[in-house]
Amino acid sequence: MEYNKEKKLIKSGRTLNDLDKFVLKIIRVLEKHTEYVLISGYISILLGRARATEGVDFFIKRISLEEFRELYEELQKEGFWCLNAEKAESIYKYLDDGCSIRFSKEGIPVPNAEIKFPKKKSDYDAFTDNITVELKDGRIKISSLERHIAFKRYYLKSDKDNEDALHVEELFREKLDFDKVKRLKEEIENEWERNKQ
Amino acid sequence: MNGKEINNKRIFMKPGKNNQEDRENFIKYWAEFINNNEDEEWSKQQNALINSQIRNAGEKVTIKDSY
Repeated sequence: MEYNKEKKLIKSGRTLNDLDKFVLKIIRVLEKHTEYVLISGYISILLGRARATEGVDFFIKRISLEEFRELYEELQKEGFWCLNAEKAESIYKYLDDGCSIRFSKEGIPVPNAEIKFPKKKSDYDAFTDNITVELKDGRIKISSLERHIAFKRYYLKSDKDNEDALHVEELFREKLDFDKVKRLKEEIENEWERNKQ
Repeated sequence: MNGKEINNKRIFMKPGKNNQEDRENFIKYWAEFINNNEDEEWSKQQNALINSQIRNAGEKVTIKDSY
């Protein structure tokens, strides 16, 4: 794997697994209708972490109900279904209320894509400093590695999340901006404090 | 290279003093393995783990549906 920091690009020659193929298939639909950025655990897995997952997390930029209807229709045509509801209006209401909605291949709940609208400033910022992972069969936009580490280490904080962060730190230690991780840590902690009030 | 040797020198994982430290040491070992092997080699090993989970999950649905 090669990480070109200036180009914000990681080139990976990995052989694709079933999870990668699922992600590429859903991305091909999502990106026709809105912008997306992939966040959280699958980033570490995409970059080699030796663990599996049931869900892959995405932010998508806010779209209207009408736009969502078109996205949902295409997802259904491609063989996906929603685990949360059937009607487009009901699913959209969950999204609009700040909840995540999950899509999987019809009849197969694992793996699934967990999709939500950004709510907080840090959610929106994930779109501005994203990087691209170029695979043999497609490209995936992920949140910056520094944001991924900060989110895992200082927001989620479980053993699994700390290990996901450690994996990325060990792989790209010389190319990571640890000052940025520190700044993001402070932003995340301030945001968390504000939301508590 | 079979993945256990780097520049003809075998690398070793330091055992942890407890479960958490041991898990972290393995993550460091595995990251070094990735950095010193072709993407196709490490991904083949990772994919065995991921594909088996996903295929097992799919099979469970099929078995349940067949009853």
